[in-house]
Amino acid sequence: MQTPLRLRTPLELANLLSAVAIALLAVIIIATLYFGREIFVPISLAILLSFVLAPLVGLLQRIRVPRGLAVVGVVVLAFGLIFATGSLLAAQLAQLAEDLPRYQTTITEKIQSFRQTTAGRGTLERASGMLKDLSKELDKPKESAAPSSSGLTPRTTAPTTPVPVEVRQPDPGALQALQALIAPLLHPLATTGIIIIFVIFILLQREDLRNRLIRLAGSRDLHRTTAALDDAARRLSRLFLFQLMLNGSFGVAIGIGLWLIGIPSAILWGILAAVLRFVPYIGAVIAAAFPLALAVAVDPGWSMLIWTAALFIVVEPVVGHVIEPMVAGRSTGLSPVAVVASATFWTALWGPIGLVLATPLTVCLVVLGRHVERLEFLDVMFGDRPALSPPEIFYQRMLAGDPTEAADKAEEFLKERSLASYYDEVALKGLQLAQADADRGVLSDERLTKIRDAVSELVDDLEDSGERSPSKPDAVSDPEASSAVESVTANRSTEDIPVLQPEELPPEWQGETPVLCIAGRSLIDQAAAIMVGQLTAAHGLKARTEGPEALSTTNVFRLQTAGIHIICLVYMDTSTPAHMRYSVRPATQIS
Amino acid sequence: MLVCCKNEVDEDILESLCENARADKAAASLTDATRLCIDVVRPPNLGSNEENASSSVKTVA
Repeated sequence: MQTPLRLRTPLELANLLSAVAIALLAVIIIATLYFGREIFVPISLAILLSFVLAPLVGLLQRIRVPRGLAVVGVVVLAFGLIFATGSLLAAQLAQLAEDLPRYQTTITEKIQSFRQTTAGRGTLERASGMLKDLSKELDKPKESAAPSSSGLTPRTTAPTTPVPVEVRQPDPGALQALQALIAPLLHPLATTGIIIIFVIFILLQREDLRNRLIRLAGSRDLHRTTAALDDAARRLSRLFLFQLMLNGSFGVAIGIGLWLIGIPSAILWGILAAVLRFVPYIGAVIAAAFPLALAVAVDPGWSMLIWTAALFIVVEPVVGHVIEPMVAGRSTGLSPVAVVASATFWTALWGPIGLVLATPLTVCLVVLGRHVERLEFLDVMFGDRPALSPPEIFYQRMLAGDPTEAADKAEEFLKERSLASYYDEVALKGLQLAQADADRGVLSDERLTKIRDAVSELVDDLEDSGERSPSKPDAVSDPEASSAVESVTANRSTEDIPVLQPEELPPEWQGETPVLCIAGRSLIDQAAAIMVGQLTAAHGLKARTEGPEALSTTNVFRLQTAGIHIICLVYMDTSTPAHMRYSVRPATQIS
Repeated sequence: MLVCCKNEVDEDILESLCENARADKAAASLTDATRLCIDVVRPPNLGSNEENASSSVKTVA
């Protein structure tokens, strides 16, 4: 029999209520965005536009133009450009619609030539023929398909000629004609008006809106958050302005290329390419589809199609993989999964405009998450920064008994920093987290053994790395390793430990292992001792490692100490000086 | 040598731990521990290996 769900503590009840509240809130937000899209789409467009226009307003203000005038001037200029582009698009579309019937002959010829190439009735044609036959059979009149139920011979009727009927509408009055003309324009005009008003007010009251946002987010450190949000807004403005310029340049390059190739309405496809490039990954592909289809329709041969394809194949990678990273840095700060997820989410909510706005909107949310404490989850969910700190990742991998991934990250880290730096700043801090968990009593002996074994395996994997010196700055490509490198300032004390050459060692030190590393008390101490041993070995002093049991009363005098000149007692927990003294004493005696 | 790898162990605490435990030396990080080991063999400002070696044998934890 199933037992009913029981909550053991008030904390569990509170957690459950909190989870339900969050789920409800998410549903309410999504529903509001969906049903209120008529309002939220213009607002979002206005916010993004204001980010793009803010630097221009700032520029005018710096040359002493009053703020109001600067805002109005910039908005008029921007919307003038948008309207001019829109008119150009409309003219090009009308021209294309007029020209399309002319391309029908070329398409028919290409289909016929394709048929001749395939020679004979292929599978597709046979399937098509079969469908046509079936369709004819279905369309036959009932009387001819089945004999009359009365048994009488059906009457033969003369074929009837259909009588053409013309339906005439009464002539519309002047008012109705005007209504028919204005009605389709009313909605876009209203939306544009809302956007213009929003942009003007956002640009005029930026600081006030920022302060309200900080108050809403409930930040504790007002000064820091204000400075951080100002900085974030400047960065977003630069990013969007740069994206706009880059995509605009992409559109111009495509437009000129298509015009040179001879594709009709090249300006239209250039503008479309610029707009669609805001859609990540597939934007350029969608933009290429239309000119490619037109190339097939226009050109009796195939050269136009090949040139058009080549144009997109060359321009998109050059813009996306050469110019963009060179000028704007590696990325927008979104993880690839977040880019796809946001595109899906916003398209489902707002349709095609959602697809275009998805990336900029998500970038805004991630930047907010980075600077406002309560919205930090947005950065964790969608940002490209690792969700865990490097020591946390290390500890997590050791807990899972998977040192391979940690070794891969370490190898990346070692391209820019030393092994000592990695052990001190990442691995040791990870072990400190393990020690804190052990102090709380949440790590079983089995887990501790797993951590010790995983560290030992990791140290083996990094055997050769200790002797290599870090190569060059900016060599790390992995984001998690890169974050670890950024979190560790280049420190000469960890980077410049001398390496002893064998000939520098006195003869009595040239035994197998002159250093003995002994774990003070626990398996975590042993993991740290293993790392000390590898570091000393990497710097010319080979070492042997022993576990915490080595200094017990029964074992201490069995310890092999021949050739040992240094004993390192390693402790992660310094709260037990009595234990340290107890361990140092026999260590001194055996040495 | 005592290697105490705990967060926020400053020099005073380290010295006190070293004295309490009656160790010869103490280090708060793996880097320091490695450097101290090397210094036993080759003190930073002294040249002769032989001179160092005779003292280093005694400098154990």
